[in-house]
Amino acid sequence: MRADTARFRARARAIDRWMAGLITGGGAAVLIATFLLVLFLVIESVPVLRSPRASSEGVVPQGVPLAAAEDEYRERVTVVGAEGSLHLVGRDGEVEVIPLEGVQPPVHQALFSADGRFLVAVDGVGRLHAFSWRQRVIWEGERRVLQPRLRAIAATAAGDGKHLLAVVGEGSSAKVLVGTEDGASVVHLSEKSTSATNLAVAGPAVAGALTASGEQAWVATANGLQWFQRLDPEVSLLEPTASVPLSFRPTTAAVLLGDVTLVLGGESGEVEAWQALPAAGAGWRLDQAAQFHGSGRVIAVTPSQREKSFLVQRITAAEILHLTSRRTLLALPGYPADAVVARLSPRLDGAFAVTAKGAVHRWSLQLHHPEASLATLFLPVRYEGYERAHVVWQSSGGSAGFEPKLSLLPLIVGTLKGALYALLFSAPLALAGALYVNQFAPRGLREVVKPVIELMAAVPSVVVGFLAALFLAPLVREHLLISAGVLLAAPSVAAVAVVWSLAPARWQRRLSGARELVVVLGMLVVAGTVLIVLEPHLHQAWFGGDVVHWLYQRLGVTYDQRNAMVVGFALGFAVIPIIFTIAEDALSNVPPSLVAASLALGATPWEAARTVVIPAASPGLFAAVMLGLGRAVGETMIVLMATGNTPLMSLSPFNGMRTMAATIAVELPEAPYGGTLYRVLILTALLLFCFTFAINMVAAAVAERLRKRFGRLAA
Amino acid sequence: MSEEVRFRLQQVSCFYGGTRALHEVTMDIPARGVTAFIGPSGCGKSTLLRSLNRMNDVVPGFALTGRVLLDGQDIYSSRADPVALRRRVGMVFQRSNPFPSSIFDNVAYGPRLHERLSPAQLALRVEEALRAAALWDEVKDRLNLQASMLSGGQQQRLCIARALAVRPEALLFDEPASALDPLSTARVEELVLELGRSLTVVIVTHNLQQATRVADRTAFFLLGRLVEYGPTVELFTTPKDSQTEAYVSGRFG
Ligand SMILES: Nc1ncnc2c1ncn2[C@@H]1O[C@H](COP(=O)(O)OP(=O)(O)O)[C@@H](O)[C@H]1O
Ligand SMILES: [Mg+2]
Repeated sequence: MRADTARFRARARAIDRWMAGLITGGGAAVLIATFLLVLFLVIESVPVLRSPRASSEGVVPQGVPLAAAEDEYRERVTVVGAEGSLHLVGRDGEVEVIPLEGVQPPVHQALFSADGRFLVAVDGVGRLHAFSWRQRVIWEGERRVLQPRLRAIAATAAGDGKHLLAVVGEGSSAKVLVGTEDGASVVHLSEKSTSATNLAVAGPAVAGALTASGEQAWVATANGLQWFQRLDPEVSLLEPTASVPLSFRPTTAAVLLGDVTLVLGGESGEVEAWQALPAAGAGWRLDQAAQFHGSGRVIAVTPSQREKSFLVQRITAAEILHLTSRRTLLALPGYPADAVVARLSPRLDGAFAVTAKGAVHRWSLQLHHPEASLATLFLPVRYEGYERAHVVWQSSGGSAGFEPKLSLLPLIVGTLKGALYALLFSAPLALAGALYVNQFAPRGLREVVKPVIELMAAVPSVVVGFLAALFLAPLVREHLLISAGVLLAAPSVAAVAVVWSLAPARWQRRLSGARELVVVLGMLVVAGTVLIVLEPHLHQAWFGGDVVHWLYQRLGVTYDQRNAMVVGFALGFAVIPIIFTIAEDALSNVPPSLVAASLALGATPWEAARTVVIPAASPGLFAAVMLGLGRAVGETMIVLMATGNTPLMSLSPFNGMRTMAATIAVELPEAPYGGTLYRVLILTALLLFCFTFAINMVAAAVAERLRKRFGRLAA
Repeated sequence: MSEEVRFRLQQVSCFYGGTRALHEVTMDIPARGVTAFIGPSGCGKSTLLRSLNRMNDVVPGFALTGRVLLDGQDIYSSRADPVALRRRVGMVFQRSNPFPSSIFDNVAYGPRLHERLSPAQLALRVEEALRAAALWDEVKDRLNLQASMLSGGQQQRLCIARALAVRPEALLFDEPASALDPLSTARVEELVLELGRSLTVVIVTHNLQQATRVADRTAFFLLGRLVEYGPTVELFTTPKDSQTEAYVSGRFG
């Protein structure tokens, strides 16, 4: 017998130890997993803020340069020599020479288009030649070989005193912006015909640029900037549409990828971005979108063919700037003082410069994520085409020249807004419900209500979101008055209850327990019926038939079908079970002896609840709301389906939103691994984690303080 | 009896969800002095005591038949207000249950609910109640101390002070000293005796010595029935009923 107990004890102890080890191990595993998760988020998101780098890659000498371009693989730099041929300078110094067919040396001027695919040159007899220039990849076994393909498009007499400002091309035609002594003209060269149209410029053109289509032209004179646009599709005439005086002497101009923004370089180192915006009345105005700091005369600006960065070539330096983030990303280290040409590689993974003596300097670039900086992520940014700085989330667009707008603020605001509306709706209901069920409800009701509400938590959120989006949202839109009535139901009942509490105690006693419940439900049914019957008449009488229309006409309030009200309701559906259950448990944990003490002192049940139960349960009640908040912030499926996902900054209950969680869910699968969007989304996830973590920390801290404040409860 | 009667019970039966806990109890409790309920565990003493200020109302399934008159008024009639009743008839529980707040706030709880007293008046009321509960001298310098910091006996006297602060006409004690050490028990007994001079005091106890020490009258219950009720001395020395005799002489219970 004794031996049995001893053996039993030993076994119990062993099991205890084993379980303790298991639990400790499990806890540690959870901590480690969480830590690793955070580590992953940090590792994947922090590179988004990494600063760009450039490293110099050696020098290869060659002849006198006029213009230069590089191929996509950065194998050879094509330099236009004055003697009338292309020099393809390889990395090893090997040079292939291709003569420019029909060009009479010496060549006076030459210019590559921004994408490096078109070349124009003015030759020794003043003729303007246009070429298309391509290097095709062919494979010789395992070896990649670039096969050059130079094709003459057309040539025309250029005349004296003209200089090349810009060239763009398409297929087998090119458009060249040419500056003259008294203005500028656009020369259109194609295999079939050659024509020139003069631009009505207010003086000699100093700098200029064409959009990719050649439908718009920017021309800078010594003291002003003009914008020309083809207005009549029938006529190939570019008409002066807007102009603005300049505060500095321009030297060069280029249109950035996307054809919206013009970058102007100036005599004393100015770099400014300009864009055309619709003017207040009609027509257009030119607007300074950005100003960059720097010194040293700007010789040339070449836009990147990848995004909104561009290379600014100064007399003694070359810098890479980024429009969206308004930053100087870097200056090319070891830039040669006698450089004539400096450009970016087509893939933005390098840059090169050619000196007057023909030495080719190369740099390899790692710009990382220039469009993402703390400023663009969290501060208003003036994006292309915008009048003012805005916070916008628009991660992808239709065209290659699209400017990604990656402000996290709309997502943060959307997340908080959704959570706020959800709590506004669910916290009072859940807390009041828990208090009622715990303290006042007739016996038996609690046994029914609690499991039912806990069952609510079992409804998959995708079902809640689906119903909210496809059923509730249109219904609310159709019956806005009834919806408002439903929202007012709880406050109205509370108001009636307050009034009722002033009634004589004798009346109140008549209406207790189940009877009270029946009366309240009856009141709600009657009020609901009245509202449903009255609604069409109210619509006609006060709102001209349609409340949404009325809201917009009278109050200027826009109404989205999937709006914060609907989301608040749907999210509330997910949050209510959490708040209710935890709050009810907290209330249940208040010792009944305290309630008894209060009642024995002549307190009414409500007074006992107010003065004893609620304060004693307050840490738990607070924790309940905070956990509800945490759930609302992290909830994905419901907001994804019911918000409309428009990243607005509006707090209006009638507008939708886009939350961080929904954005991650929608965009992460589409985001290229390692790209800016990918990293920004991971950063969003990290922020979301920090949010919920902070909420839990605050909840725990405040709950602890409340617990101290209200003392340790008697058993 | 010529004495003024506080509680008059007429054929009071109590039920918990159909189970009868008290069987047609009829008795008068005078306005002055201490009345003790004794009897073995589960015989319905607490049930009867709690019927006197309707603390049983909150128990689901509780029902009472018969009449309980307080100063001639039926406290279970439909017009009677249980909340007002409990203000007149206070209660001290078996285990001390101070609120998780300061000593002062505990005692001030009742007056704050029912009366609009100025801070000075409130302080006076608290002092008065604490003095009446013989606790004043011990806590007068630390009224802001958490009630839970007091010793068990002090906590129980705090609960008495808290009940006294609403100035009840009657005070019900349900085994107030059963969880206390002998010294604290003695002090509580003194207090009960003292309070019996000015209030109607009813005390439930299963400590017979305690009944003989504090009670003027004692009622003996057995299995939900009132077996014998009379002056304490008579009940203990010359019980009329054999069951009473068996109980008070310690042969069962
Ligand atoms: N809340 C309750 N619910 C159901 N039965 C109860 C309740 N309180 C007491 N009883 C029953 O009523 C009888 C009397 O109990 P009680 O008055 O507490 O006895 P005493 O105080 O004399 O020990 C007991 O049988 C007990 O089980
Ligand atoms: Mg008892």
